[in-house]
Amino acid sequence: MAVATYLDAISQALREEMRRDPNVILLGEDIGAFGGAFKVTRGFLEEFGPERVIDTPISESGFVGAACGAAIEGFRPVVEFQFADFIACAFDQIVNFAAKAYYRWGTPVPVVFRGPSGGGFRGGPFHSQNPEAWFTHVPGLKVVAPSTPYEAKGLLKAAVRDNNPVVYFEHKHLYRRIREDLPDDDFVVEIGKANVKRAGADLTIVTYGAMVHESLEVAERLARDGAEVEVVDLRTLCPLDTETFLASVRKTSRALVVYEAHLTGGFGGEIAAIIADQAFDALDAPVRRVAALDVPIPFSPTLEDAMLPSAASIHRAAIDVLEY
Amino acid sequence: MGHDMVTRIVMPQMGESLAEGTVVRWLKSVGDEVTVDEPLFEISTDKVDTDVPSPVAGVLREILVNDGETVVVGAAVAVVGASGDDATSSSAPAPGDASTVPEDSAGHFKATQPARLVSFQEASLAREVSDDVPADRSYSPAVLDTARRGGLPVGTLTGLTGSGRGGRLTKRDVERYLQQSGSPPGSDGVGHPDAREAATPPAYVYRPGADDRVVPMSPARQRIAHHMRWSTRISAHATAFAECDMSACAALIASRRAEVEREGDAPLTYTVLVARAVVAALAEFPTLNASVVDDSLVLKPHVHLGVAVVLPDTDDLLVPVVRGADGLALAGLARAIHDLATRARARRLTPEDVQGGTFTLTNPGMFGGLGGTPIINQPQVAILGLGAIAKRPVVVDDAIAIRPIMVMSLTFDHRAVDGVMAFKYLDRVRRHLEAAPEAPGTSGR
Amino acid sequence: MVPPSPDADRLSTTAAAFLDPALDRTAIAPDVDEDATPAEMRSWYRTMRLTRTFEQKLASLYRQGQIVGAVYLGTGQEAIATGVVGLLRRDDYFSTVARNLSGWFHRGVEPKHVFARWFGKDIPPSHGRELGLFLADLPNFGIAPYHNGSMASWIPSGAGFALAFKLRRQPRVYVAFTGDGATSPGDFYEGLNFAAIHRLPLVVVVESNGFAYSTPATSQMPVRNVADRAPAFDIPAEIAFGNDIFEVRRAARRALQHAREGKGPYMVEFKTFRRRGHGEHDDQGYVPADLRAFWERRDPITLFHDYLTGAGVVPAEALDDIDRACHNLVEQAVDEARAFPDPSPDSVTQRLFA
Repeated sequence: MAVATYLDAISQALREEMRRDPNVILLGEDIGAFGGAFKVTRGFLEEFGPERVIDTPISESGFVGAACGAAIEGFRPVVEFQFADFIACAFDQIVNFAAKAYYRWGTPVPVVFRGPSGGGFRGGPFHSQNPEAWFTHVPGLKVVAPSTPYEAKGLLKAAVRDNNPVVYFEHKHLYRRIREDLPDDDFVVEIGKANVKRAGADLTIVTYGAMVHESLEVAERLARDGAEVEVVDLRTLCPLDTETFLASVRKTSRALVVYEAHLTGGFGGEIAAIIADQAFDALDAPVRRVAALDVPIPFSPTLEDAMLPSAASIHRAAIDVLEY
Repeated sequence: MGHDMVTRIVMPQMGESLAEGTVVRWLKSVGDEVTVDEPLFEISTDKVDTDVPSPVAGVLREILVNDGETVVVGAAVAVVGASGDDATSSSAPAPGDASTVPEDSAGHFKATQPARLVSFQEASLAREVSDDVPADRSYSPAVLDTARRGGLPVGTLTGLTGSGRGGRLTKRDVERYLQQSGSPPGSDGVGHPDAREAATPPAYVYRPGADDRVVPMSPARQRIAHHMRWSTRISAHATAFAECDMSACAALIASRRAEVEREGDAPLTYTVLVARAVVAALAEFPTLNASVVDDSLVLKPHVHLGVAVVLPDTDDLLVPVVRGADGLALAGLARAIHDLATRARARRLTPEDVQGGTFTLTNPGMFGGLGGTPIINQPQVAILGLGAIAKRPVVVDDAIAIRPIMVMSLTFDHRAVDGVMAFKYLDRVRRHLEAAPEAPGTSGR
Repeated sequence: MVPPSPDADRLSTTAAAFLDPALDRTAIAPDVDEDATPAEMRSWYRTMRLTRTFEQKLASLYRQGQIVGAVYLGTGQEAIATGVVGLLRRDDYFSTVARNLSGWFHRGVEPKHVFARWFGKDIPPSHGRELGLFLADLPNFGIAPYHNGSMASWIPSGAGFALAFKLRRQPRVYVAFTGDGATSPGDFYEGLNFAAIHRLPLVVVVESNGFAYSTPATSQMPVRNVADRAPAFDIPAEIAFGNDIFEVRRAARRALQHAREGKGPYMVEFKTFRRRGHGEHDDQGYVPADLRAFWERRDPITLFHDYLTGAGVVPAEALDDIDRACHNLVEQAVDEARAFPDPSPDSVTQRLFA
């Protein structure tokens, strides 16, 4: 066991997979000599060489398409977007090629698309987004969003080993702020399984990514007031494990869905719809959501803080649902 | 810069994901003058090594973090004060200090703030939750489901008070209620304990004064209160009165008491005689032995006569039921009534003893009084109350006579029973009681 | 040597915009480097004739309402794919759509399967999920997957396959067929840029037929030729007359050799003409009549037919036999295609994830 940050965990996963399987290659901007904008791949060029750690020109659509071609031909590429927001430049190749090739022709495309998502650090509109909803809406893609170092490592390994295209959003706010003791063995976290991060009987919070930690903080606060909150971490958005959060809502009868992405059309809406559909008889209060306002993420601190969800806004919403 | 303006110097964030930084070395010492943008100290982080310039001009007053120490982003590392200011250091941030780490300005959440919906949509911000939301909101699926699984009729829910916002009923409220009241209610409408009255308009609710003594209702009292309120809501109550000359009954009791006590091992009382008359008359008026269900009248094949019993040391009113009273002769009826009353007073009644009644007989007259307007025992349609038997002057064959007179009060459900039938029934009972002692069924089972 | 155009057939000004007079010819002949045997040349003729016949049948079925969706033909461009694919090795890959059916047929794809896919039948690899226009089958034919109708979208993935070949030290080549219009999207540049940086074995064959749907090339690009952009990638490019199968082979031979020797991408731009609309739903009213007439006189099959019979390589009767055989094969293929099963509705959610 050794302590690792969330970022270390991602690094470890990539390194271990590259050592384990010579077909694993990396493509991305500044990942080679520079070690990556966030230093995820520091030392990789030296260990694995330029044919496996490929510094790409600024052309997301181009190198994503190339990764897909190489994947069909037997490699297992991991594509890094310097900021998750840049995935928009490769939208067509991911959504219309990678996602659909297996359904159309039986040709699997085992590529991992990963990038740092999330705001709260004054990065402005094009460096702070949580784009998962663009991709959960595309049949044929898997989408994961780990919240802890253990899961970041285990899910990335699972993604590399998965024969399907996996979109992996690592929340940059968690990179160096979360640490955990990680086991030494080769562990994998199964894609498609949620888990309960904190048990409780009074309210279910369904969430993922950085909001897991905000929600846990809220749960601690509410425990001092006598309300026990159960926090369900989805971990994988697609394919979605519905049983875990449905069982929780059937127990608590009150649900709050928390996600950092924009409220409208965000993935939390899907959770709310499923709860209303399949746990209707268990509900004692409306299913509420806490999410970012439907505006581009602004730069100025007062503005950004006014539109992103936080422990404070989650707390207020939780009380609202608890008191209903 | 004012005399007591001080500036906190903080560890900067040199990259989006960085959470901490290390002070490598200080380039200025305490007491040194510094100018704007002059480098103060060097730092090292995971991403970059650099120096940090001073945001203000002044004097370095205090160093809080030494060479080689690592602190989180935003932590204060030094204090710069105004030149010529010999005040001691303070770590209070100056007004408008731009280096202060922004706190969660979405709240500065205080516990005293009322909880409000936070999806941040304008509509939800505008929607205030008020306390005079009417109590007749719809029930949540969880409430209905919990009630159903606990065998609680939906109608009972209106009697419960909710702990949710605006008095809304919650699943917890139903669960607690089910725990307190034990098994679900029987079908004879004996109520169960009520927590409190359902939300009454505030103007009608008495607010106890300092000198008042507030006595919580016993479970029995609550049960009765609940039933009475509901019964008057369900049935269209009307009462018919009739007088009855009880001299024939008096004679019968005198002549047959010993025999009945021997046969039935129970006393022959006025109650027993009235019970026999009531049951016999019901054979001719089956509507008075029925129940109203939706738009139908449900007639029953037998008479299960409820006979009200007051327990001596409490105000508990029980109504044990003589099952199959229509098949009992005098001795049998006496025995059944005696047995039930005895067990009632000993609190040894079973749930079956108090269920399934089809008509109720109550005798408050034993405490004196002329008559009254008893309240129907749901789900029946009639109840007969007896007044005291008292000697009165009456006219018999155009002459004044002194006779023991008892007033009978028949409350009936006008949905099912009209006045004509009610009076006819009473008259039938009267004639039965005033008839010759050799009424049918003198030797009995 | 190639004889010059007769005066009566001088290029109209419209046609000149499409075809540099220096490239033009109305008669074709092989040069000394062409080593194909008569038997091989017969196979080229058969491929082109089969393609032409097949497409005529396809158009006819569409007009009868027996094929739904849309139909896109490559009438008049048959020499390009026949010429290029004929030079590929078995383990080379290429990507194309149905405007290059000749490439598919030359690799061995059977007409009945192509019809079956147009009928939406349940046959591998797509089992009804894909338009008849698209085919991807690497194991059997080396035809690579792609996703868009925009033929630029497979330049990046083509670079990816080429990357794989290079990383594995294999002397294989990826040939991406594309059109003049499809050199406008960003993917064309991003893919070629990436391939050029890493010197990947990517050959881009641009079939410049002068129109992207109804948009003439003059509205599509500010340069006269797609090949004029090659210096941006520091790669070689050449322009050739696409209706001369020998010319096609000359240019393709150079391109494939360059790529196979590890020198990086090579662009070949063939000038040709699309004799039917963008799809059969398009009547091509935007094409001037004289332009259409000009290209009719330069039909690739006619040119080749004239050479074969004129040079005595193959007797006319033998070519007529081939014509007849193709006709019968196509008719039979339609019947066989109808016999394949329709996909069951229950299968719609299957095979989403590997």
